[in-house]
Amino acid sequence: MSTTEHGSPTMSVNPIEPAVTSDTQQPTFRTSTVEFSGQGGEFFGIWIVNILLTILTLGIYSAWAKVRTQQYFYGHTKVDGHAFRYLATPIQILKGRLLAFAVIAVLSILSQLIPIFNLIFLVVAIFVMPWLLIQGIKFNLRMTAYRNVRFGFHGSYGDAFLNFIVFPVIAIFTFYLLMPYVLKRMDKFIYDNVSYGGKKLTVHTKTGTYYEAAFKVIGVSFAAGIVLAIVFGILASVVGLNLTGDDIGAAGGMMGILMGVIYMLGYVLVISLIQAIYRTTIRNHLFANAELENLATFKSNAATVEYSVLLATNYLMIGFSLGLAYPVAKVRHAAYLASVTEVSVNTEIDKLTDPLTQESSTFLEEAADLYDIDFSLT
Amino acid sequence: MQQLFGHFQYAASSQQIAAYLFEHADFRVDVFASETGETLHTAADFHCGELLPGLPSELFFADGSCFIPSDTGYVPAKYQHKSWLPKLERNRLGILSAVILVPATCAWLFFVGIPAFAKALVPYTPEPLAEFIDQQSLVAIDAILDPSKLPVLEQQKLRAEWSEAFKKLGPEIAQPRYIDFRDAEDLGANAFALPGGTMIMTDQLAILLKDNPDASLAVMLHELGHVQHRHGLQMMASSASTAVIVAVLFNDLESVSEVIIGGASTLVQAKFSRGMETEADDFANQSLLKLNKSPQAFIDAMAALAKAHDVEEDKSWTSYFSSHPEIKARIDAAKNLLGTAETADGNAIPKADDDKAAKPPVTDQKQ
Repeated sequence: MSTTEHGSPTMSVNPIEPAVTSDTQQPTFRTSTVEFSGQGGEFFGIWIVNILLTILTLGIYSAWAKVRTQQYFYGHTKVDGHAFRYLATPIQILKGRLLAFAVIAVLSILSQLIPIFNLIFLVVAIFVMPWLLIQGIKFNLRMTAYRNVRFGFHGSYGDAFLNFIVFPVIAIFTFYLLMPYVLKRMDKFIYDNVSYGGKKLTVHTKTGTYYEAAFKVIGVSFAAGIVLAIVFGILASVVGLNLTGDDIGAAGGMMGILMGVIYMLGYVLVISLIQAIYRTTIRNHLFANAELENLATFKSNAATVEYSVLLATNYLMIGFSLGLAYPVAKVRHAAYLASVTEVSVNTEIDKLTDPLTQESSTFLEEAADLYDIDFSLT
Repeated sequence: MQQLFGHFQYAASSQQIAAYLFEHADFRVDVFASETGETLHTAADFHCGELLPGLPSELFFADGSCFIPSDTGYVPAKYQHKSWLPKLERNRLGILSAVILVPATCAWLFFVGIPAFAKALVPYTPEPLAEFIDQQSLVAIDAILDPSKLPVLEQQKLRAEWSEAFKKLGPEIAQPRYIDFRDAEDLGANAFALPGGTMIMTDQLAILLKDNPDASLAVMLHELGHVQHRHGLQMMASSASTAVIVAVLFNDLESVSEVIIGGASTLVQAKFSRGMETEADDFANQSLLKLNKSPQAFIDAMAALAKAHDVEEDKSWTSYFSSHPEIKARIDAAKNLLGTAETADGNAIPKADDDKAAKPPVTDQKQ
């Protein structure tokens, strides 16, 4: 949860330009922690009703479900006392889904009937994928507003193709040695092309940080493998020494179950730790090096151990509840990430205008309606 | 008319101002600045986003400006008819019944709805499509199995025998598209029916039942049962609809739930498949009776298959994952006919000597 009081973010001074209290054009920055006010119990109700109505309407309601979920999370996320807004309408989402569904249905029938089609499809998909990616990001950002001003995305097809197809293929040929660099390029492509109210986001990513994250992940994976092997070795030898004769059958079965449980727990812990290492390193790095052109800077203090505990408990919770704890886990995740994120906004933001909305005539809006379709099924 | 406090947000701008709003009965609204009382906006209409618990229902106006009420519980008169949804989402009883209804409707969908839908869909399969499916399946099969090593004459003889028997069953019984043989060293003795009606017997099964033509006929009658009931097409339709429904319904869930749903649908497919095997067994036994032959032929075939595959004793719980019923159950079902059923020409079926029917219950490896 937020440490800053809602509505009155702590004031801080821009380190570069000294703050001037008079009403000149000198910018002043307000720094505050991101607030997340969603509640697990509350979202559980929305989630379970979403699923029920989606089933009862044979999937039609899924568009409303998506909008409700998005608006719940956006509306409960506040920066500098103002909430985000998800603008897409269920009908927009439904149109996109029906279209995507029709395309997928035709493709899967074709690929079932004509095996050679799979090959053609693969080739076509390589060229369509970057376009779909851009389209999805564009849609989601255009549908996101903060203080009535929308976000935008300006990534080009050529750059997307280069970063998401060409470079990953090259990385494979270098036995993945180039992979951290490729991941850096992907992140840079996505974040560097984001804009807000006509102002561009710039991110100065460092390749070194991506290699550092990759080495940590590999190192921890190896260490975890060795630790698990030792634990299993000890358990097995203890069992072997203590059991004689007829006991082995029953106790062996018990041991098998115990080992299975330990293995599962170990697996969840290791996966959570690895995810936490990568995500916290990269997130903190991206936030520290991102700047919204004279408008905002960011800071992320995600702690690896804390975050890995959160992930592990979330996975276990979801697993043991057969999925029912999913909404609670999702809210916990959002609340944690908000609590470790700080945003400093220039007071200029209070007088920002939205070029996207101002330029758009009714005709453009309608054209954009057709264009603004989220093709992704998720 | 209702007075409502909150903030007015200017169009295409980040500027906000404390304001209050009057909502008229005909959905007209007036917005005034709190401090000065000046009119900020008048609108003939407005729209809201989703009504969500804990969040204000913001009023959006045509020019892009909006009003954010301070009271999160406020629902504009225009949207009162939609307030059942957030009420349901907050209602304990509503949530509890959703928690029960979701798995219940899923179970119904997977166990009843989809199989019934698949069954209803199958009669509409166009003949060229069925033929096409078999051609494609044969391409896949030939990638795994070798051409038959049985002498051509032997193949022709078996084909002729079976075809003659199949025709005797009457015009209402579907005929196989084609009967063929394949050498399957790894798979062993086996037979299968493709979705479009082509039937395949492995050389290994033909050799295994060489001295018992009635037993090999019984196996082929079982496969003909699959063709008659169009089981292969039903399976295809059902797995395709399951995939579609899972994709549509659960696309917002994450991987853990996918695993649970995946596991459940495997169970369902297996149950569906076991039902089909039983149906095909019944068809085989009834057809044997029609042809004035004893279901003992079927028992012999099952026993020979069990012996050939030498599968270890079936564990009770694994049977839920098996695509075929236990052989013991299949043999027992046929045995029930012995001594009770009559052949078409009115001869009673003699009771079997129990020793002849093999004991080891196994899951066979078909398909």
